[in-house]
Amino acid sequence: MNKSKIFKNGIFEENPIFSQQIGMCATLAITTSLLNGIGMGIAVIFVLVGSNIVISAMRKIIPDDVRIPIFVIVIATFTTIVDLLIHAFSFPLYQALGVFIPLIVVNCIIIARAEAFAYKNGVVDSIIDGLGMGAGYTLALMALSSVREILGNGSIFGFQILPASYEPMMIIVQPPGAFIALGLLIGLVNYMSRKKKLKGDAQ
Amino acid sequence: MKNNFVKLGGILCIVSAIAAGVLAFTYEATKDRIALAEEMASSGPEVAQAVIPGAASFELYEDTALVEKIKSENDKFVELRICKDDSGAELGYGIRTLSTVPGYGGDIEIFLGVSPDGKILGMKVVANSETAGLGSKIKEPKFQEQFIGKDTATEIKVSKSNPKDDEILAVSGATRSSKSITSAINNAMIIFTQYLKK
Repeated sequence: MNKSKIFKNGIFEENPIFSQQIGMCATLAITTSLLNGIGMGIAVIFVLVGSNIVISAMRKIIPDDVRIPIFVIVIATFTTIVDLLIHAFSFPLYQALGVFIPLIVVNCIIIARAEAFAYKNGVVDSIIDGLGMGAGYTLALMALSSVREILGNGSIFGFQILPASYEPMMIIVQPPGAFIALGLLIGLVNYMSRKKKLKGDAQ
Repeated sequence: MKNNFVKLGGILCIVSAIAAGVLAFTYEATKDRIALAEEMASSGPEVAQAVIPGAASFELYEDTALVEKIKSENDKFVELRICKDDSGAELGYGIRTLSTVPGYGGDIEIFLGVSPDGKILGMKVVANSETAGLGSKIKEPKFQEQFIGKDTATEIKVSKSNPKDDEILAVSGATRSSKSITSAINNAMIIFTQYLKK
């Protein structure tokens, strides 16, 4: 498979959130502001690329029978590293993301890429796959968190952009609002990709 | 079969040992910065300025016997700091306490700044798990300004509209968070009145 196709695959066809719909727990919980969304996305990219590199490099020496425990150890190690780094260098983000950083360890995107891609492909392809999937995840988080921050708080990146007369839609920043906003976004993305597909078929 | 068992176990053991080594290294490398970040977030200069504007120093209170006494009698109390300005004159006390009424995400932890004559000077929320964008608005100046200048002798109550003198206006949609932080402030005021007021 060619490299740009691997990268685009994670952003479009197999976008972790809009298309595969995995890793939803953290997605719904932390997307209350754009900054949180970006921070979480970067943390996931780091863990995803790191574990993809290690697992693809070791794929010939990992015995089939114990591959899952080894995946878990590798992913847990990278997650703990990213947790310590964020704690040390970006304390406000650490406080905002809270328990969801350690929970990256159980984010299905990462173990799914380890099992479905890194274990079967070379290091370079696995890095690209990690970056593509990570970028797809981050972009989806950014889309969802900007919608929620603008509608629910009238601000973006913490700066007020809507006039004070705008009454923020409280529900959007609360858990039910996460489901509503995500559902509408998935609908929109599906609508656009189907329209594109129909247009392609017609030609 | 038995051989395979040992081999697989051995591989897992090696992988775990390497992972533990990497983590120990990262922990050592970040340990000091984490301690510093925690320290800054809970009692750094930024916190001192929010608690008592103009504070040049923000030191732990020297009378440890009194601090121990407060701790044993008031289980929500965390620590006591004293603020001085550049010339060394006492500006007031920073009282760190948890809320006595839990918020939406457990207890809220605050630093309350009280002047020696018993007026609220400022505050800082040190730790909270309130809903982002909703309960977390208790951290905004617009909400916190309501407490400034209030006297520590009268308990502060929470109101949903038209607050009276001894009341503050709750964050709209977050009455529980507002009540929780107010309970922490009241607790700090009780500590001041009981132990520190001269």
